[in-house]
Amino acid sequence: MSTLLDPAAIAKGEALGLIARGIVEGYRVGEHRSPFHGFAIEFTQHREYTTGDDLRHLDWKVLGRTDRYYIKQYEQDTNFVAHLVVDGSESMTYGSEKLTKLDYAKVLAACLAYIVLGQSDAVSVNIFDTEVRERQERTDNRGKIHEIMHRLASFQATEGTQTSKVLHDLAASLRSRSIVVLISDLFDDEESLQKSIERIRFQGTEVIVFHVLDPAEINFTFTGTVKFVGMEGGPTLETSPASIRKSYLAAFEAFCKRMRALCDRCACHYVLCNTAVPLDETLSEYLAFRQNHRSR
Amino acid sequence: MAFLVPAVLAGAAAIAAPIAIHLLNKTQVKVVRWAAIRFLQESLQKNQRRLQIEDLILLLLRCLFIILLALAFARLVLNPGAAQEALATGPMVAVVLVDQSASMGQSNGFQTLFDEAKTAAGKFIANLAGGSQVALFLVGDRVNQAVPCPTANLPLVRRTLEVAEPTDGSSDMVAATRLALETLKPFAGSRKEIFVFSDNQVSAWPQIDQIQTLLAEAPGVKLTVVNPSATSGADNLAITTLKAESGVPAAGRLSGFLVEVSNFGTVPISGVRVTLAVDDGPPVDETVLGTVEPGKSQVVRLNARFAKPGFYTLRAAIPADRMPVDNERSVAVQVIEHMNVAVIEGGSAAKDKRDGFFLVNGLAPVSPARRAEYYLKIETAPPAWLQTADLSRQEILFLANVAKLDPAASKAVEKYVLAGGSLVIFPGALTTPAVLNDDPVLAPLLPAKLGTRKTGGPLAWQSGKFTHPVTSLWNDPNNGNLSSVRATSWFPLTPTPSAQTIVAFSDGTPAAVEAPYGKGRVVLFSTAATTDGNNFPIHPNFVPFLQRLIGHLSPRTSSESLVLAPGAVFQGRVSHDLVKREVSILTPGSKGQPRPAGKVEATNQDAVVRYHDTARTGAYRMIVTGNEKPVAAFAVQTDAKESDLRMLDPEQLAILKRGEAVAVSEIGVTPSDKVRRELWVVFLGLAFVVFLTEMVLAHRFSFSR
Repeated sequence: MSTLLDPAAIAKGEALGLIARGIVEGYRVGEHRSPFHGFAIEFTQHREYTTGDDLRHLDWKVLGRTDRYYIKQYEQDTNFVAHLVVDGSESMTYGSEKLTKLDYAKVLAACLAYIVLGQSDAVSVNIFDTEVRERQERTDNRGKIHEIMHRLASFQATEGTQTSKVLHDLAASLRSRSIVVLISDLFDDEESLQKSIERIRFQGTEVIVFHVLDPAEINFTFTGTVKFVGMEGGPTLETSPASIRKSYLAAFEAFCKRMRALCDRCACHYVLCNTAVPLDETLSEYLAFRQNHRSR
Repeated sequence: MAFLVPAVLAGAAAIAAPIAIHLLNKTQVKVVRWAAIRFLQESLQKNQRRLQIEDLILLLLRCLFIILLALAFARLVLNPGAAQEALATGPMVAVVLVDQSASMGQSNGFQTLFDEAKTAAGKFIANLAGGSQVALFLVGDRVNQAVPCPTANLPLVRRTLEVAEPTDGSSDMVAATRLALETLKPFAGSRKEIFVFSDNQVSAWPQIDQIQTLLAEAPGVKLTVVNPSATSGADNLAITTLKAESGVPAAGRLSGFLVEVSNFGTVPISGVRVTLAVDDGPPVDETVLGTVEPGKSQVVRLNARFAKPGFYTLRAAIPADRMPVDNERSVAVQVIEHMNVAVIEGGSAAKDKRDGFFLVNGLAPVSPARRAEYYLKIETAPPAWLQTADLSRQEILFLANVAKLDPAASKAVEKYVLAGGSLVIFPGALTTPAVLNDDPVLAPLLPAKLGTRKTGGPLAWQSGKFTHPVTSLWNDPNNGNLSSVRATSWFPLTPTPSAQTIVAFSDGTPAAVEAPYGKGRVVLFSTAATTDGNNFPIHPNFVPFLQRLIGHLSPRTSSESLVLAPGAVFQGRVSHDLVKREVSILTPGSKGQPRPAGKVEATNQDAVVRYHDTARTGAYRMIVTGNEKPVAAFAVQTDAKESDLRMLDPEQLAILKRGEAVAVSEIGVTPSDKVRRELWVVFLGLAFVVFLTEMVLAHRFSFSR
């Protein structure tokens, strides 16, 4: 699907919406349950099973203990809110091919917004660098999807990153039963990032981290002599990549491991997104994992 | 220290290559805006110093490798004085000519000169610089291109050389040099040399003056003549001639053989025992020579008697000396039981005035009582006899004073000559030149046209300088003198182009001529066979002349046809009854053990035996299975010039030296000795070690990064 991700199309709101819909609809074929279903639903009571009830709601534990058939009943509270936090810093503009990490993040955010709104939950979109630059306030109106797409598509990155600050600010405004979806390359201060995620988690909010990386960053396949100009004010380094490849890969792999460990410590979901891997593949893989995880 | 190829040192500039590549990589920098710069920075900080050191080590190793290669190819030598010499040891394209002639068979008592030449040439080839290409020519009667094209497979050349054997033939080094120059012609741009391993025998360089021209036409080719033995060219006593004295060897008759012993040395030799043996038997005659002066020859007559008709080989021998091939010489003869000769007399005078009187008595110089036992069976007859007689039984036919032959007789005579018969014509008073010249049948047979009979004189025969085999005996005044033959009446002869003069008058006009016709031969005299107008029939040399003439004309007994040069093919006629019968041959090296020689072959009219492998001198006897007696025999004789071991004199050597040629007694310091003084092997080895080190380190460094 990533081959279909045309940066020019992503820059247009309608086209981005179509891309996201295409990916999501493709995933939904044959599915009957939303992977996010039940996040904001509270269990209230049991009642006796009657003919015609959905066996999926049968409480098997009670059946096991008492040999009686009870159906679990849920309180349909309010819709949950999915906060899509998209890193729009300069480092996200890197792409070894035509597709940049930011393009990828935009499509990913669009897909998630499409899914959440599609199941009548609320979504908010925050695109940030050193602070939130573009915001779509919380909405459960499906009609707002086009506005969301437009905001995503039109964003242009220019600045550095302060993910932790943005997450701190977001934490202050969070209600309960929210999901924060962070889409970033995580090239930021790791310690402050951890603190900010811990704070969100402390509030009981689930956090999902989509770690977006370019294949060149993962594999570092440069040859000859290369002058690397650091983004976001980083230094300029001239070197022979082949001579330090092994060392670089070790450092980068350690970074990825630290990020995964950070997420594990904070009980977040960590999803590594290689922009060379089709988005639908990455997304469906994660959603399937999530569905299985929740069903257990 | 000096460099043999200093120009190659410029190749050391190639060390700029790795540096240039390094710098070029620096200039061809790709700029990438990079997000994950901090990981890059982290790696660089951690590895920078190590990377720099590793890169420097690799760069130094690569530069060192190139410098070592340049030093190796520049051929550094420790001894500058040897530099120039060593230059001559580089790769070359060479043609090695090894003299294979009989003279190379001379021995120092331990080994032959040919063995020494092989050893020297083998050593020379083994020590040639790597990359050299060599062709090998063995020079005998013909140039045997053993390794025809220069090849880098030097072991092959050496193996070929090792199995080479000397021949009993002669050699022509000038012709071989010409062939070698042709062989080297395609190798433009290479160092080209010709090495001749020879005894520098004078006869091996028959046209030494041409060497200059040949070398001038092939600039850049160097000719080196190597005589591997300083002892060559010393004294040598040789049998240079062995042949039947005259006449026809007949069974029961004492036959004479002339043995010429030549002294090619510088001191007189006396008391040399010369023996003559028949077949493989003990000597049947021997003599001891008086003093043979240096450069002179002595001819002795030895006799042999053959009990039965057939083929015999005779071997004359002198005591062994350093050159064995010419201490013996063989000849083959066919001994006949009898020979039929017909004398046709034109006139009809009284008995002692008959035209054939002198001929009959000259041919059979025995008393009438013993004539029946004589080997020549002479029949006299009038011309009319020719019409009815079976001429095929006659080996020689004499026409004496025959005025004219009728057409049938003419036809019979022509048929007889065409089939191989010999015809001898003596004109006489009855002879009318116009009749003979205009006879449509006989005229083509005649070796000369007869002119009108002249009277005057007296006209004497020539006194020497005989070239014909029949008369060459009288080149030696000890054997008499033909100049005392006088003619007062003769028929002037105008020879045909194919005719050969047997003897001439003192004014140069022919007195007797000979020409071939068909398979036979015709001899025409200008004077009569009687004392009519000349004294030849009563001359003391009349009988030997006739005997030699018979020996020459008889197709069966001509010993000259049974003598071959080494390498020539023998072909002898045998009886038709023997066609397809297996033939074996006793050769000089077979030690009495016959070896197969094919079968008797049938040709158009004859049955013949052939033999090709005649490289060795000596006697060959061919035997048909089931027959005890040889059906054919022949002898192979080496060229007498091969016995002359004199070497090229300083003047002739100077001819070689004036061009691009050098004559040396040995090749001096072997190329390998010179190469050992060079250090290129060391540098090449070091370069290899550096190359391996660089490979290992480069692999290790890249792995660690």
